[in-house]
Amino acid sequence: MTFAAVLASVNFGVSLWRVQGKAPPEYGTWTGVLQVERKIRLLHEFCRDEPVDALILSSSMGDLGVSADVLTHEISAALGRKYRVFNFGMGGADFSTYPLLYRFARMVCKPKEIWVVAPASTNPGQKDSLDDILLKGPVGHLLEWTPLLRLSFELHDIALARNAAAIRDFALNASFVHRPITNLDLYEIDPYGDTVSWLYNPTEGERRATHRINRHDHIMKFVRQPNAEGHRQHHRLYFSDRTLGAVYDLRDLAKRDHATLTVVPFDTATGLTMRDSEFLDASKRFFEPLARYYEARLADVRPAFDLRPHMVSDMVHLNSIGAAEFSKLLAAQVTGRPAPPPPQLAGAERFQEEVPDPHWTTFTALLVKKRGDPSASLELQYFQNWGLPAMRPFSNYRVAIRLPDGSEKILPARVGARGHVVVDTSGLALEPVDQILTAQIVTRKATMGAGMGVPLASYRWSADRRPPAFWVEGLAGVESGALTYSTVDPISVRWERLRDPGKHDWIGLFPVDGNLASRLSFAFVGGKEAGELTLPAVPQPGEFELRLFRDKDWDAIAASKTFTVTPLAGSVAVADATVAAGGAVNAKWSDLNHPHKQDWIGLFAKGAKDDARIDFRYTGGALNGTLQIPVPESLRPGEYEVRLFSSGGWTRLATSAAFTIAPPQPVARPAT
Amino acid sequence: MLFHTPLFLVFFLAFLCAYLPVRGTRWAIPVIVVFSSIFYGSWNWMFLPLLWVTIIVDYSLGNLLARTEDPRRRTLLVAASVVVNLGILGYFKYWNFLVASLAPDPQLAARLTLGNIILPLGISFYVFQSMSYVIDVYRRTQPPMKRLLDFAAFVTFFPHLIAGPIQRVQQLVPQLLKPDAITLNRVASGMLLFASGMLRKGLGDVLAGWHDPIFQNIAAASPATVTLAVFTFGLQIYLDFSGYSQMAVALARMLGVDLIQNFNAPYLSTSMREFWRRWHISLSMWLRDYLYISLGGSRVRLPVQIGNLVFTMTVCGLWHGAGWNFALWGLLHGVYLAVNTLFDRLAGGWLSRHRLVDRAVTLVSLPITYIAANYAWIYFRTATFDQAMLANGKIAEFALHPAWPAAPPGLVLIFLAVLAMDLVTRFKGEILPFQAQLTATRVVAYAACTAILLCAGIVLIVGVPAHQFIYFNF
Repeated sequence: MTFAAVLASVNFGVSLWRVQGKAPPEYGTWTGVLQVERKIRLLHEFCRDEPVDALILSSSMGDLGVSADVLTHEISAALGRKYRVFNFGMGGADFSTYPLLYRFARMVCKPKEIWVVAPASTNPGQKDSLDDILLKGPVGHLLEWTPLLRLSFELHDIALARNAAAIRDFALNASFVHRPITNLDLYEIDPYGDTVSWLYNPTEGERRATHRINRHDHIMKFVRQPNAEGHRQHHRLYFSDRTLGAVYDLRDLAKRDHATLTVVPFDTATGLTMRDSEFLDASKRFFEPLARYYEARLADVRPAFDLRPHMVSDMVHLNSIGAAEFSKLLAAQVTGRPAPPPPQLAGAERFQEEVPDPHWTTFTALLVKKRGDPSASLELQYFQNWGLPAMRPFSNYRVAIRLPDGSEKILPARVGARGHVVVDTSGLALEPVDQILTAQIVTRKATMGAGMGVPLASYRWSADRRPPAFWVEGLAGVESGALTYSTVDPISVRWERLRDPGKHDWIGLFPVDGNLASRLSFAFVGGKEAGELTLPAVPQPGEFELRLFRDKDWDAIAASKTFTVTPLAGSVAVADATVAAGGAVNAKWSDLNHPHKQDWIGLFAKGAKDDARIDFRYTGGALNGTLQIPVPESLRPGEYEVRLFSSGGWTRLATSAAFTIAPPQPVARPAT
Repeated sequence: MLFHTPLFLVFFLAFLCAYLPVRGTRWAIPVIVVFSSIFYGSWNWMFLPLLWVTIIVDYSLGNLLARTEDPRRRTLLVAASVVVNLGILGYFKYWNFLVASLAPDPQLAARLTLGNIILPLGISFYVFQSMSYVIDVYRRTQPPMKRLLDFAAFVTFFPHLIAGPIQRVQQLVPQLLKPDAITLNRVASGMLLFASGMLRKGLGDVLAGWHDPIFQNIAAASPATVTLAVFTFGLQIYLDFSGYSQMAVALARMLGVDLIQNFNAPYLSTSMREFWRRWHISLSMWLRDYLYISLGGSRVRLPVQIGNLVFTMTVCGLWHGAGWNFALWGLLHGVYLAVNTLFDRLAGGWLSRHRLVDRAVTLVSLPITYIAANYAWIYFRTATFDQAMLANGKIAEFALHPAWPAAPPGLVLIFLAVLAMDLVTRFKGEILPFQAQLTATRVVAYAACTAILLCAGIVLIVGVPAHQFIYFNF
């Protein structure tokens, strides 16, 4: 009983473990491949209540280039009943990997159909290929034992086991230094298993042209062989014993599960742009025998697929716009309906393959805006994986947008929840047509073309017109008492609407866009729902903001408007070059940018220390003016100066030119 | 089949299903032998016959020894056992090493080399254990065993088969034939000990994850890092082997059998002699009883005793592996023990009369012993003599220009955790000894401690590439 209670408690504690507000990263230690595990879990969720009709097996090309989401909706609409497709495509997979992937998938649920989405490729079976890693992984030896595999998966899914690698890493290094770096750092996977990419890579340029030529030559070898022996050898190159073994393995597994197989011919993004009949006919020399070996039907939509440059993520992969279009065609073919017309998007013609666009980085996203979409604001969800810049609530960003007419705008944006960026687009002059926009998130000070390395996971056009301060409306608020301060002014802080205030909830002062480590000062709110406090002056000029935090939580719940700290400035001069002792110095001050009623001007011997003041007078808070400082009669003649100080303190703003104090003038005695 | 893997759990549950119903009957021994053979065969079935050759030969020689009183014939029989056992060990473990070291020219060496000989798992352990039986019968300290299966169970009993602790017939066989009752106390403490062993193994693997890349490229690492890596390897090998031994003892304990404890806080020793009384205790005792004492032990003149010590420890080094690095490691320990013996002879008497100085010396001896023992691991861990020299150079550089090593902060926690565990072991023994009375409070303590250690063990082990126990290689 005690044993179970302690185990359960520790496990529960681990399941609640968060670092910087996030669940710890996964390490993929069960299979050795993080992405496989993520997809298994997603499939587990996907088929929890309803069966899976079709399972896509593919490499990253199909993972990114086919949308199970679109297929599900299109086929369901065509059939008039639910038809559910899951994308089990995996980066690095090839024909040898598909049976292994299918074994993992059928452990969770068995589909009615299996779609192999693959390009014409050889299957070299290199060391450290995906199948090599999976077979040598911790559960590799259980792949033939479905019940044990399932048991192993369930055991590994316990929080303690699942997070073991992360806990170990964190305990040893105080951070997740051994977190596996995978393409998951760049892409979100949606609930249908699709790896989502809104990326547009404008930097590949001529490499695409080279790739096109190579790909064309590669495929044409299926028909350009000198003789029958050449054809036979070329066929063996593609259908080696290794490949055929894997093909038959998957075929037999499918038969055992009463699942039908479909081969969907695919290609690299550059390859898909080649639709000439010679090329397509040559490639059939691969796909037709492949379908025969699989005992599968063939669903080839390549001839109808008009791949445009804005549908391409890079020269190998489509982005989600391309995946959606390909999937619509595929759905139409498998349901026997006519192919939908290609979409007409204003601005699409601006994207040209092989023409680099140096103004945009590889993290540029393409957004489709349909005629009927609202346009008051744009909600962008950026992928927040470990290793990517954390986009914390209430931080400020800017989003650079390029419109279909080529004009570019930089719009202010604000993070609502982690990674969720809201852009006020109400001011954008958007034509009421289907169009494509280019978007890139930049920091507040960055300019167009200096995008942040954080990928877009999803987006949504919204009709909510947000006021400038939409991010704090109705929530806790924190504001600065002034919009500008000098470097010696304490910062006055006001907060309000703090629900359930804790004694150690706190307000911190940060440079704008500064991370948590850049905090300059902070103070606790003392358990009050609203109130005021003062933070120490900021000695360096710049733009700053206040952020309100809950105790032990590093995600701000509110942030102030930006305020500026500027250096103090002022000048002082004396009217006369010589003043007699016993008289008065006329000191003139001006250009005070932060006047204070206790700003003061003092009389000093030239070069004397600030604490050797002879006499002084307050300025009274005026921006400029003149005042008189009496010179004692006893003052020794010599060179003197006046100095201007700020706010009743000892911050010297300016020093006058030296002047001379002469001996006191003799007083004229009345004649006797 | 590693003790801390799910596969072993399945094996152990299957064993319990077969063993518990026949426990205490004549069928218990056959069940142990069959399952132990499966356990061994799961690594490589090809080497199971070799294990049985050792068993049958030594069982037969033991019985032949009992039938003769002729001293010459007895000597011949015990020599036959030694020759067969060391011959098997020599062929699989030392042949290629000997050829490479002793052949006068490379061509002859190439002709005599036997390709890639696979070292049978645990061969050094079971050969020593089996051979000790014949020597004991020869010395008349042990009667011959009547049943082959009893002897086979002694050699193959799976908790100790692959990496010890090396058992003696008189200690283990009576327990196998008539094991203690399996009480809640035994099971609870066994589980706690097993979880503790798993934790140790996990901590060792974490350390290996840090220092393995350093040893792979010593030249590229900073002097401070190499120096630290030597100490972390010292800790890893201790945690790895003591963890395995604890798991072995724990498994046997749950079955009602008590194995020899193999470690007792060795790094808290204040002399090298004490270190060897606390490190790999079963091997130290074996070498003492069957080699060192046979050579004359401490009953001979001091120079001969010193020579015996150095020789025994060099053999100890070679027992660990076929390589000059292992021999050098053993030789170094032999020198340590020789110095220790000389110091005791020269200053022992005087120190015993000056208690305060004696205490001060003890205090200083603790870090010296720790550093000396860890320094010797360089020769154990590095693959070649050149690498060992490279590591020595780095350590010398560190000694001349000390610097802070680039190491994860968690290493300190591991050192502290092991220190805490060893301090308890050193001064209190087992925290929850199973012989003590089982009260309700103790039951709760067992359960809570086991669960916590198990959680920590899971965290340390799940997803780590399967590191074989270091001593499986010997």
